[in-house]
Amino acid sequence: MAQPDPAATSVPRGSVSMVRFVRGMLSYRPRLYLANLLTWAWSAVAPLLPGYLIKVYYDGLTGDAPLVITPWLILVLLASVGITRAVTNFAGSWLWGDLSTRAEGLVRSNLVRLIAAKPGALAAARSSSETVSRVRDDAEGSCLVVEEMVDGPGVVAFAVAAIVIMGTVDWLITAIVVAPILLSSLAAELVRARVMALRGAARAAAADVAEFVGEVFSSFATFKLSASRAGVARRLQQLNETRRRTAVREKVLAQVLEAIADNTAVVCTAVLLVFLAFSARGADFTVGAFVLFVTYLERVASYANWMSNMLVSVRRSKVSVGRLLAAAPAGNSGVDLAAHRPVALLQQATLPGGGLQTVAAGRTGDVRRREPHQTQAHRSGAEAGQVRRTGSTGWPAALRGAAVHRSGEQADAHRMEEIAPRPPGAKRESAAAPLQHLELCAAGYRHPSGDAGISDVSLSLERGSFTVVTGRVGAGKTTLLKVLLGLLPLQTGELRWNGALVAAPGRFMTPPHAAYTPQVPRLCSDTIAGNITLGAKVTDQALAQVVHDAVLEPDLQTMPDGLDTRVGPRGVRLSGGQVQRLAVARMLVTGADLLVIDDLSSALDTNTERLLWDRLLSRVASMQPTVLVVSHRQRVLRRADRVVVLRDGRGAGAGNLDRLLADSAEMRHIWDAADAARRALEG
Amino acid sequence: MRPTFSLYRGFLTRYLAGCRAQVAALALLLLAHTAAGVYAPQLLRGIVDQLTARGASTALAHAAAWFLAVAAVRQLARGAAAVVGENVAWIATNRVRTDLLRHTLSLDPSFVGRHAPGATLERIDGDANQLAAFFAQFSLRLLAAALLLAGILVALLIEDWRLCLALFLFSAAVTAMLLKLRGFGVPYYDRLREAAADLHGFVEERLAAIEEIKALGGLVHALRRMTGLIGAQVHHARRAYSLGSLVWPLVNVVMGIGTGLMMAWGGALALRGDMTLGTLYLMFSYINLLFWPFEDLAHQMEELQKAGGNVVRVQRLLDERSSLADGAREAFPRRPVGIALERVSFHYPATGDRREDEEPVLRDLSLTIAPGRTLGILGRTGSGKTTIMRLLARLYDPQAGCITVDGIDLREFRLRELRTRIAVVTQEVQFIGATIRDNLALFDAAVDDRRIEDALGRLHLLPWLAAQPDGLDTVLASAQLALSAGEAQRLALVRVLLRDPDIVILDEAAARLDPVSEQDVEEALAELLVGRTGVVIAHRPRSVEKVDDILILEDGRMVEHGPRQSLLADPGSRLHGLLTLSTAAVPASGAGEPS
Repeated sequence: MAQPDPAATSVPRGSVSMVRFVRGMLSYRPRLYLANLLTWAWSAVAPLLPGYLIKVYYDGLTGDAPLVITPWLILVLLASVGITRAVTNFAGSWLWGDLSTRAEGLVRSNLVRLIAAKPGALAAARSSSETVSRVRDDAEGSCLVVEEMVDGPGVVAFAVAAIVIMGTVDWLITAIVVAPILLSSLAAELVRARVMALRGAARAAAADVAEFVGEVFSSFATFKLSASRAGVARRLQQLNETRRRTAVREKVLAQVLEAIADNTAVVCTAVLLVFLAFSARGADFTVGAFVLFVTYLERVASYANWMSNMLVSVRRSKVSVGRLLAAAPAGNSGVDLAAHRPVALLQQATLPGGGLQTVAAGRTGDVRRREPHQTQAHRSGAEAGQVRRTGSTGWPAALRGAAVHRSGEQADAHRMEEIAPRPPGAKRESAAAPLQHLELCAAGYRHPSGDAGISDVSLSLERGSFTVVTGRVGAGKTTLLKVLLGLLPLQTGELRWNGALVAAPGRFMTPPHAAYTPQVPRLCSDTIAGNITLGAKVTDQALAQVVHDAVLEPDLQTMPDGLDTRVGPRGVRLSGGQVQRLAVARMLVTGADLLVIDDLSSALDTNTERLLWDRLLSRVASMQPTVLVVSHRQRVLRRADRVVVLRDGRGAGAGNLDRLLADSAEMRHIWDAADAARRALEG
Repeated sequence: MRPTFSLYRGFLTRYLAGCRAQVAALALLLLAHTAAGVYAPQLLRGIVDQLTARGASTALAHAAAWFLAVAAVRQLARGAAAVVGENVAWIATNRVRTDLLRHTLSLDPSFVGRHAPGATLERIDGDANQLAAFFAQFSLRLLAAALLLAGILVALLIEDWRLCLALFLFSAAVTAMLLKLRGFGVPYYDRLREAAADLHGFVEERLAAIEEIKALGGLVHALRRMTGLIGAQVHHARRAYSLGSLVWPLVNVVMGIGTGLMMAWGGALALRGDMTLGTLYLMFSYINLLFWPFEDLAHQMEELQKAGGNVVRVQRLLDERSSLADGAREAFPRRPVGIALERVSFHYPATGDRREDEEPVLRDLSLTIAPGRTLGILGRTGSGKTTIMRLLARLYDPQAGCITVDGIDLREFRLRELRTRIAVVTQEVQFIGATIRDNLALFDAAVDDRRIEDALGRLHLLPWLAAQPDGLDTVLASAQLALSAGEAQRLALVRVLLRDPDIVILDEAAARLDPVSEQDVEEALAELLVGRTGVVIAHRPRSVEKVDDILILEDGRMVEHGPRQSLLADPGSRLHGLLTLSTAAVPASGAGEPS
C-alpha cells in the first residue's frame, strides 16, 4: 500500500520476480495446493500401469515369459485402472476449480488494492475498461504458472519412472530412443521465442477490441442518441480484423511447434525399428518390450512437449505479471500481487498517522506482517462472501432502529472483528489531532499531457472556516483540490496538518481527516444507503441527519424503497441532481474534519441549491468542519470567509471577497461575467 | 433456454456463410489426416508380426521409412487444418461480436439500466471468445473424431467382421452416453460465467469510482465485497469443473473396460492361435487411437457445454427486442419544424416485479412548439423535464398520447433518420479512446475533415486543435483527462453541428461551466438554435434567458406555459417568482466569522 515516494522506487519496473510470485501463490492455500499436487501427480503417473501390464501380458502370450496375467485378469486390471483414473479426475477437477479461481481472485484483489494505492488512481491506464481487461485476462494469465506447479511434478515423475522401466528392459536402446526427445525439445525452444512475440501482439489486439466495446457501452447515451451505429460497427470490424490476423499468425507458428512435439514419438519409434533391424540386441527384444516402448515413448514425448509448454506458460505468466504491475504503482513486484494480506491490514492505510511523516518510517510493517488470526479472517472471507451474496437483498426497510449493517456483514463480523469500520466521527483517539490549521505551500502539479496543472499555489485553511476557490475553466481549481487530497501527486511543495508534514496525502487525506465530493460523482450498483455509507456501519440517526443536510429527503419520499432504492449501474436511475446530493451525504456521513466540494451547483435547481448551502453552512456553525469548495456562484462567494482566485494554474489573489473585488482584475472579471448572466435574465 | 441442436445449427450456418471454400478445404485436410491416422497402426501390425517371426531386417527398415512418411502426411494435414480452422473461427466470431454490438446499440435505454457496462463487455467479448473456441475447436475436432472412428471401423471390417461389430457396438454405446450427457453441464458453466460477470461488473464500477472510494475511505469494504464475489466464483468453479465435466471421468471408466474386454478377448484368441499378435497389437493401437477421439469428444463436450451457455446467452441478447418499433418514413420534414405533444402520459417501464415504478412521470401533457421557436422547460428535479427530452429523442414511447413533428407521429419515422434530425446535448459529455475525428464524427465516414475543422472554428476550438500533437488524428487518451469541462461541452456541440439537425434539445448543457466559458458556450448555443426548433431544459431560470417560450412543470403536469416576455411582465407568474428568488441577495447566515 506504500505510496511511491521517489526513495522507495528502487525496484526497477520490468524486474518481475517470478520465483517470489510463485512462492507467494503456492503458500496462499498450502493444503489445497498439496491436495491438487497429489491428485494430479497420481493422474499423470497412473498410465505407467496399463503399459507395463500389457507388456507382461504380451510376454505371456508369446511364450517369452510364463503367462502371469490371464485374459480374465487383464480385463479386471484394465477396468480398475479406468475407474481409478475417473475418480482421480473428478476429485482433481473439483480441487483445481477451487485453487485456480482462488488464485486468480487473490491476484485480482491485490491488483485492485495496488491500483487504489496509486495517486490519480487510473491516470496511467488508458481507461477503466482496459484495466478491467487486465483484471480479467492477465489475472488468469498470471496464474498459468500455478497450473504448471500442480501438473509439473507428476509429469516429471512419469517421465523418470518410464525411462527407468524401459531402462530395466534394455538401457542402451532406451538411451538411443530417448535422445530424439531431447533434440526435438531443443528445436521447439527455438521456435517458441517467436510464438511468444506474436502472442504479445495478439493480446494487445484483443485488449483493443475489449477496450473499444467497453467504452462504447460506457458512453451508451452518446452513441444511442446519434445515428452512428454503422460507423461504430465498422470500427469494431477493423479492430476485429487486426485481431484475427495476429491470432492466425500466432496459430501458424504454434502448429509448427506442435508438429515438432507430436512427431517426436514417431521418430523415436522409427529409430527403435532401425536399431532392432540392424543390431544384434534386436534378437532379445520381445514383442511385449516393443509394445511397452511404443506406448511409453508416446507419452514421454507428449510429456516432454508438455514440459516445454510449461516453460511457455511460466513465461506467459511473467508477461501477465508484468502487465499487471504496469497497471500498479511503480515499485511493486510480483510479491505484492501474490501477497495474501487480509483485507484487515488495509485499514492501516486509512488509519491516521499512516500518512504523517512522524510515523511513516514504520511503513514496511504493513507489507510484511501476517498474523495467524488475520490470515484466518481472510480465509473465512470467501465463505462469508456467499452468505453476503445470498443475503444481499435482505437489507431491511429504511431507517430502522438498530445500527445500520450491510446485510451479510453480520455473518462475518465475528470473524473480522479486527477490521475496524470506517469511523463516522468516532475513532478519534487513534486519529491525528483534529484539524486546527492546514497549509498547502507552493504546490505544483503538471498533467502528463503537459498543459493544464497548477504551479506554486499556496493555501491555508483554519478550523471551521469556509473557503471558496474560483477561476475560469482550466484555471486549475479541480487539480488544486485533487493535489490537496493526494488524488494527484504533489510534485512540488508540501502539505502540513497542524504544522506536521503529511508524507502521503493520498493515504492521510481520507476520513476521519478529510472527505470529498467530486464534480461528477460516480456511484456503484448498490442501494442509496450503500452508496452513502460505502460499507461503513452508520447509525440510522446519523444517516437521517446527513440525508436531511444533503436535501435528499424530498427525493427519498418519492421512492417506495427509500434508502433501499437501488441506483442501477453507475447510478443511472438517479437524476444528475440526486447523484450530486447523494455524494454530499456520502461526504458528510464520514464526519471528517475537512470537507472538500468540487462545484456542487451544476445539476441543482435554484431552490435546492440554496437549501443545500444553508444546511451545509449551519453545519459549519455547529460542528465546525473546515470547508473548501470550488464555485463561481455569487451567492456562494458572498458567504465565503476567504476566496482564492486561480488563473492559469497560479494564484491570482486570495482574501475577503470585497477586497478581492477591489484589487483583483481576474476576480472582477469572474464576478461580472456571473453578474452579466444574471442581469441578462431580467432584461 | 436450453441449447438445442437447431440453435447450434442456426449459429453455424449464420456465421459460417461466406467461408465455404475454407470449410471445404478444412474437410479435405481432415480426411487426409484421418486416413493417415488409420493407416499407421497397420504398419505397426506388420512390424509386430515380423518381430514375432524374427523377420528380415531390411523389411523392418522399410517399415520404419513408411511409418515416418505416413506420420508426416498426417502432421501436415493437421497443422493446415488447425490454421484454416482458426481463421474461420475468427471470421465467424468477429461477425458475432459486430452483430452483438450493433444489436445492443439498437436496444432501448432500459437495457443499459439493467446491465453494468462490464457485464455487457463480458457478453460481447468474453462470450464471443468462448464461441471462437467453439467454432475453431469443437466443430472441427468433433468432425475429426467422427471420421477417425469411421475409418477405424472400416479398417477393422476389412480385417474381421466380428472385431468390427464389437468395436462398433462399443463406440455406439459410448457415443450414446456422450449424447445423453450433452447439456448436463451447461447450467454449471452458465452459473460460473454469471459469477465471473458479476465480479468483473463489480470491479469495473469500483475502478471507475476508485478516486472517490479512496478519498472517502470505502476501499476496505469494496475489497471485502470483492472477496465475497470471488468466493461465489470459487463455489461455482468447483461445481462446474467437476460436475459440469462429468463426461470426462465417465470416458475413463468406459475406456478402461473397453480396452480390458478387447485385450482379454484378443488374448484368448491369440492363445488358441486364431489371431496373430500383430492383429492383437492392431486392436490395441486402434482402441488407444479411439481413446483420443473419445477423450477429445469428452473434452469437446466440455467446450460444447461452455459454448452452449455462450450460445444461449448470445442468443438471449440477440433476442432482446427494443420496445421501440422502428418506423418506415424516411423523409423528415424540412426545417423549421413544429413540435406538438398531444395528451402525453408516461411512466418508466417497471424494473423487475416492482409495481411502484409505474408512477406516472408525465400526466396528460399537451403543448406545441411553433417552428423555429425555442422552448425553455423549468421545474424541480423529478418534475419530468428530462423525460420530455427522452420522449422527444424517442428513447421511450409515451403510453398514452403522441408526439408529432409537423403533424407526423414520431413513431412513423425511421429511427436512424430521427436520430440524425434530432440532436441532444446533455451536461454529461462522453468520449472514448479514439481519435478526435472519430470522437466528433462518431465514426461517420461521410464527415470530412474540412467540415470538422469548420465546426471547430465556429466554436473557437481551432487553437485547441492546433495544440493537439497529431491534429484530428490525436487519440483522446483516458477520456477527458486533458479536457476541461468547457472544452468538453463545446466538443459536444461540434458533434451536433456536424449532424446539422432540425431539432436541438439542450439538457442543462452549460451547467457545469464557469461564467466566463459559459458565455462562450451560450453564444455557440444561441447560434446553434438559429433556424432550428429548440428545447432547453434548465434547473435554474438563468439558463433559459434566451428562449422564446417557457414551460414550468410540476409532478409531470404543466403549471405554466407562455411566451417568456409576457410571463416576465406578469408579477403573478411563477417565472417571475422564481427569478426574484434566484437573484435575491443572500442573507448572511451562520457562515462563520468573516475574515
